[in-house]
Amino acid sequence: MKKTILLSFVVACLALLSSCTQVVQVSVPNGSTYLVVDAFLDNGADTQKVRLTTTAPYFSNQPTPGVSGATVLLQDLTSSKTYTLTDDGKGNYYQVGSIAHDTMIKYRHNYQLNILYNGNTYYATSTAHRTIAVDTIVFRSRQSDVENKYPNDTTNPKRFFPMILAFDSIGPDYYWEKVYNNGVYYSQPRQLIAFQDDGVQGMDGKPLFWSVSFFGLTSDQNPIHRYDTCTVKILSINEDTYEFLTQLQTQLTNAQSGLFAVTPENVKTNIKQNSGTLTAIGWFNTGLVKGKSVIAR
Amino acid sequence: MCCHTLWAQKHTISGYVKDGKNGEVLIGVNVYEKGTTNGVSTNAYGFYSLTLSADTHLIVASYLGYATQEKKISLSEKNVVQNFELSDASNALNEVVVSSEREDQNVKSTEMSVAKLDMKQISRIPALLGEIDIIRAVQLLPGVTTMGEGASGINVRGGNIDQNLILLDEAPVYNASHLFGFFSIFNPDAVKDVKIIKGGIPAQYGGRLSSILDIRMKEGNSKKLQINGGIGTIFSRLSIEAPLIKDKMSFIVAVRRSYIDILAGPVIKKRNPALGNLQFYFYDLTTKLNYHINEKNNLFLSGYFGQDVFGAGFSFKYGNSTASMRWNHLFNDKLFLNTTAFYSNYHYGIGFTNQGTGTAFDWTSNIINYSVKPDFTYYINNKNTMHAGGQSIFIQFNPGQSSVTSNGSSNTVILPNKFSFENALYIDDELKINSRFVVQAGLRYSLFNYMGKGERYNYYDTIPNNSRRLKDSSYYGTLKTIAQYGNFEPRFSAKFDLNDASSIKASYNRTAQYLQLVSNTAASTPLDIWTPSTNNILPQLSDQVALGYFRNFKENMFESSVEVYYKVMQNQLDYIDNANLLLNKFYEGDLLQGKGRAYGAEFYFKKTKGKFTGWVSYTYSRTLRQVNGLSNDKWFPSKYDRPNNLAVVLNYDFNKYWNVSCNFIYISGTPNTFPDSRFEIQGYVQGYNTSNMRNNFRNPAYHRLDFSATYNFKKNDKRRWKSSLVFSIYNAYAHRNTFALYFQANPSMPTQTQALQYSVISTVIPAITYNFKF
Repeated sequence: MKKTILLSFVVACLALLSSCTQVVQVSVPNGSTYLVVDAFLDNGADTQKVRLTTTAPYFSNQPTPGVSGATVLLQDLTSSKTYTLTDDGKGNYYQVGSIAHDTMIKYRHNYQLNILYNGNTYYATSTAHRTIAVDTIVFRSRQSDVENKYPNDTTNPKRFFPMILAFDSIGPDYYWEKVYNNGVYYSQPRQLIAFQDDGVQGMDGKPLFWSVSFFGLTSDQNPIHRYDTCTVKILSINEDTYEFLTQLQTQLTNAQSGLFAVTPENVKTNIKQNSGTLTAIGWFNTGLVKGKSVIAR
Repeated sequence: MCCHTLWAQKHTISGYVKDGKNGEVLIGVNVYEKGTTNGVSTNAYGFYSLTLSADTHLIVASYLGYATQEKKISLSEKNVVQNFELSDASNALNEVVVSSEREDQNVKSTEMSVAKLDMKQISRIPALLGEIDIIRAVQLLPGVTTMGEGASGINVRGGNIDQNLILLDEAPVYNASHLFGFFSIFNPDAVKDVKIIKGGIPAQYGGRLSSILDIRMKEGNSKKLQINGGIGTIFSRLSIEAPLIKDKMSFIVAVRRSYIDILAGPVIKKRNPALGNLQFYFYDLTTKLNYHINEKNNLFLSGYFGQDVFGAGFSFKYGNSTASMRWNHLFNDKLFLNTTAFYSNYHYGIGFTNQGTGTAFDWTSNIINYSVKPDFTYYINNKNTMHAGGQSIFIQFNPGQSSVTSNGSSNTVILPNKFSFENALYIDDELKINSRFVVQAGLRYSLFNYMGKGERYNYYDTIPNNSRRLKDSSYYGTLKTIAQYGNFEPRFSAKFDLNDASSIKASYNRTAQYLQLVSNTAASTPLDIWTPSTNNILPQLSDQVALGYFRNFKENMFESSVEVYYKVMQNQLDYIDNANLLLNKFYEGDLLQGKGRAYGAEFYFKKTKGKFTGWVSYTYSRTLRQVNGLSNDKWFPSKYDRPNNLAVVLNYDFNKYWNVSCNFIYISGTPNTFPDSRFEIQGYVQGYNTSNMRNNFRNPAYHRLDFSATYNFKKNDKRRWKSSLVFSIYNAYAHRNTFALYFQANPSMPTQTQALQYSVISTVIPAITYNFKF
């Protein structure tokens, strides 16, 4: 929440300073190759997967290579169950077969992800916290907003800007809110909304109706028009996942921060290594997800 | 008995040295007995005292740019008060003896690692948008760098920007920048003298590690009404100075206001209507009143008030207010006391309202200082001068109060106030051992208290690159000491004359610093938070040794110096990766402290007289850090490590009407951490530095060429009106200097990663300024 507001502030500052940014050629020697773990698992209907890749030279300009041949196990520490995820040979490890119809991720369960690759063993832990339901999605489409935001767009000025309302629970919770238009995820770094709900807590910790505005974050490339289907999903995340996503966003959007930019830094990782020499980085989070789809009118 | 009689037969000549035209006291004027080395220089209030044998002496007062005066003084009977009024060398009248005595202060004084700039020099330097600026002029001196246009502050000999004590009439200024560092807050029309001390810092100064930037304001013309002004491209200025009681009381009031909002507002609004209610300006007011009560007492009141306002739908303000009162008292011909009391307040705030979503955000923060500082100077005899005094400074840090309003309910985050009380005592003695050898030795003791009311936080130990978690906290009541630190700070400098035109100087100083600016942005911004030393943040300490060779040529037409220094710093502030410093009560858990070292060689060559003047300064320096938990615990270049720093400043007077100037600057690029790899997570492509070394690369070098030409309108002797037009070209070959370099995926094609260079100024900036005076 704080972050979003400050980001808006910074963006406005930049418009004034009319920053001049240009792409330059920089030569950087290639770094070491690390294993990268991308494991965000939830109780949603989608097939759950863990993706293993390696790092690549910074300017390699192609997708980083997938890593196959690893053993990926998800341990439910609370119910003492272990799920084996299946390697598709391209670096994806899916939930298939008998476990495909089982919901691996359950409320308040603790999980450990175990990876064995080329004699290296890694693990990471996470808890599945509660999430909240999206109560209402309202759309705003004031002509003046459109004109202010897109003064040169004469093609289809009737754009819709969603505002999301949900009923918060007592206590500090952390969420990742994902917004889709006709199934297309708003994937720009500035559209990454990881937030902490304590910034909007009621006076005595009482539950409160809160709203997150996606106003201004819908992109020029994929505006919401009348009759488009807008989907919002709220995924619960661990506190350190919130920190990780915030760091990731800060680094991803740093170039837009101009005078307020921080120095480039490595984001954190929660992948721990038991044995072996190949370093692993990445993130593991388990969470519950709830969503809602509404047709813009 | 004979000797005792001779010893007893000494008398003192003392007094003030002033500019004969406007009554301003002159700082650093050499007053000496002709043909001998018996001499002193005037202090910051223009006072001198010289004790000589009971005889008749030829006393000389000499100051660069002024006609030297000689007076025959008889000290055989009693002590004598003798004031001097010097006149401008160019207007020298016949009755004044223009002597060929040397203005060789740089060689003869024990001061080293010191640079002085007078306003005449500063006004010749080509300036951004034609506006002469003190901080930007100081940046052209050896050992001084900046992070670039748009960055506040200066870095001196490898130090952070918070390690400079910037004094405006002895009151500290916490943020000396307007418009994110494009201009400084010092109105050149109100400034008399600028001095930067980078090493051999005398014991009277304390509280910062790297340098003292001592800026003295004019007293105001005590002879007649004088108005100065300028109409520039970005702002205008006006100053009025006048005697209230002739030769007894005078004042100066100087104001500036920028008007970029008025000029550029409609254009920006047209381009981007969202920025409709544009506010983008700064103003400042500098004022001073002085009252010459009698021969023994003088009183000065100075004030500065300035603010930057920047907003459009949001507001962002910052500013300084300072007020200082100084009282000079002469106990007798040899004992001078200046007592300064000051108040200083640096404040900033952000406000933001989005009526559409009902969200609002408001944040205010400030730092307030109160201080008293008595300083005695005792002119024991012509070989020995002693300074002694003390300082008490109480600082209140209000780091921030922010409120977030959303849908009618608001949430206020209050960062707790912090209080500190710093006391210091010092003594310093300057002793002429013989005609060639002078030493100055001093000791300062500083005692710092971090006080309640407030919480003392204790944290768990550091896990590399993770915030330290809070272990426990305990409450301390008002004025209860939470943490206390004391430090002895020895200071020493010595000068040995090799011959009349050259000398060798050496110095050592230890300095302690008990407050710091917390910032992990690429360059410092006005949003950074000041914090005192606490139980978790240890005081910063620095030990510096410097050695210099000073030589003048051709009757002081050329001055040159070479200095080398080595500096070791302790408890330098650094941050874990991804530190969260903004509105975080437990930010101390994200701080790290480590060692620093800096060394360098500074070369300076200056031509001070003639039609052609200017200087060349070159510095080779390094500044490194070692912080456990960062960069694999190895030494790494600090943010300000810029090995090569060259500045060339040239002025040429064609005739009475035209003069031209040019300067060229080349500085190695700032160090930066570049990613050597990329990884993908959740569809995002992010860089990663697998070497884990901080500042493993360097941004491209900074270089820039500027020109200016001044046309002085023909003087009409009957009218007092004088005016000039200044044409300036900044960044003449339109070099895009790198302010910062970032790495990111192409937003529309995420697999394409690229390096983005951010430049603050990318074009030639021409400007015209009209200056007037009457």
